[in-house]
Amino acid sequence: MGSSFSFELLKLRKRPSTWVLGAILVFMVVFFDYFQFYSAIRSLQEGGNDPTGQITNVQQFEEYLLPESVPVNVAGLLSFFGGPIALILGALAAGSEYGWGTLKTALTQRPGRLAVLLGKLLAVGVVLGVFSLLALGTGAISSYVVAGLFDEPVDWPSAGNSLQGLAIIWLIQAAWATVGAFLALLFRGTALAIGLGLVYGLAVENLIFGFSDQSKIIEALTNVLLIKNGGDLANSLGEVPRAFSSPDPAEPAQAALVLGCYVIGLILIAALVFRRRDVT
Amino acid sequence: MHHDLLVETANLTKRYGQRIMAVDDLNLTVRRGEVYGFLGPNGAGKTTTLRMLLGLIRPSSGEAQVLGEHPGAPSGLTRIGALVESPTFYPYLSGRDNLMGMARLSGVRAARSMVDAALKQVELRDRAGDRFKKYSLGMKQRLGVAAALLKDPELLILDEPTSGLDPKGMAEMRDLIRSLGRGERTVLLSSHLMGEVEQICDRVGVIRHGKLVAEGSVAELRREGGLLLRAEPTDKAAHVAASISGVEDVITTDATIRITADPEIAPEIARKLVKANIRIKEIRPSQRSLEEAFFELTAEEVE
Repeated sequence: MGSSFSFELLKLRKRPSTWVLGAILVFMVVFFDYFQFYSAIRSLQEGGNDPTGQITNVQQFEEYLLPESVPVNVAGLLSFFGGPIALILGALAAGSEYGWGTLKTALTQRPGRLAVLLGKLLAVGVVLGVFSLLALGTGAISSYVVAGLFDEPVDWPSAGNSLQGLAIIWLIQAAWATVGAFLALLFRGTALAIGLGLVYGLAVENLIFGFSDQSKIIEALTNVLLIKNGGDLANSLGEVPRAFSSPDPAEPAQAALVLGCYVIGLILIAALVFRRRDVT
Repeated sequence: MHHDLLVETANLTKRYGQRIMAVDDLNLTVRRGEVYGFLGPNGAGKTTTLRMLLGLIRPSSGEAQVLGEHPGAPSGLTRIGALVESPTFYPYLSGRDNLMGMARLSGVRAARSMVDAALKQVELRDRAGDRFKKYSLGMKQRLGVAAALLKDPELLILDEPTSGLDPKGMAEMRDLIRSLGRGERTVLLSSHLMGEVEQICDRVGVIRHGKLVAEGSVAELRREGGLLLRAEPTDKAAHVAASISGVEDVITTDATIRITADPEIAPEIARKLVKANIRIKEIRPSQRSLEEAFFELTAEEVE
């Protein structure tokens, strides 16, 4: 599996789309996490409007943008917006081979199907680790700038909180990436996998969440949703403004378990499918 | 499995649903050191068979052994170089990076020097740094062969390696395959180009509708089972030949008489012709071209 993993890592490193996704991630952290809320707070402080419509307490939001809140702030954003990026990365890594016809080339070398699949998923996991570090690093720089602009002291989060944040961001993204990779293997391509994955993540989950108070079954269903569990896990990292908090948050351990089940369960099913299917 | 048989299939079958029989009870043998031509029209089941031999497709029934292993077993794949259909590599990686990746996957030791040697052998060293997507079809095909050579394989499986190439590229590829087939290396080559197979292969298997309809040396396949006679006077010679027991048919075309009969009776025909004062210029077993043999073997039966 080592040979497959190192080649997959090389492929992801040299693939332009990986860098584009990383750049989008950086942009999202800077813009959605810091720039838009900094601008909104400034606007409110100067007697203007809140264009985001989410700031209920200026003081609480200002603290949310300072360095000490980097893990909870960045993880909170990525529990929603980071999902599609990870999903696309997973789908591209697993599904592009079908379009290029390279799967047969790789499988007629030596490693065996499971080694190829696991090497691929492991490499995606490493790239997600880099993405998580990148997001936290970008958040740290942005919050440092914001602290300077607000003339606030710079207090960094503890190492434990930062590491926990890193792990949570990684787990949230890993769950989404596994969904993308699984769909790509199932549909033997990227287009349908990305399309369906995004529709599910951005529309279906929100619809289920929106109707959760209509029936007990739908309410129970929300307990296994990616966005809800990712959000609840992210919010466990620190104080979050009320606009971002969930009415009935899951325990962090339970949320982590649900996300872990997505990762492990989908890998097992994907391995079963990949091992048995003909490569035509 | 006999140790001299590198590939052996027993009733190998691949069925898609109830209606499509891609490969039907195929019994194929490839011997060590030979260049084996796997012939058949498009859609006959050649690529499906090769994919089954490489473990890419699971057979519906039957068995196959490649280098004494089950198809797709890592221990077997390390000794097989394969180029299945068009060569496919990662478009954004250079030719060299693609080969390095394949070398890593194959567990090739001294990967860098093996990659250099393979690039040199297929004359791609000057363009090794270019991205694969910028390669011409001929270059892609040569890179595919280079990848197949990286492992210094005992068995090379090449599926239509000259497909899409221009005449010069085809000639170069033929020379390359011929040089690869020298010595101990075994080559299993699928093609529908008769000239290619006739020039390169030691033995040939012909597949039609998924069934192996003939297998043997090129000379065996070309042998028609008849005689060609040139003699004077031609009309009298044809008349005498037709009267000989064992001769099924006699057809005269210009100065050549084509006799349908067992070639073993040639001395008897010659004796009768001489006795009838006919001057024999030539009498020999008739041979058809491989192309004629192929068309005969793969022709659709008309009710």
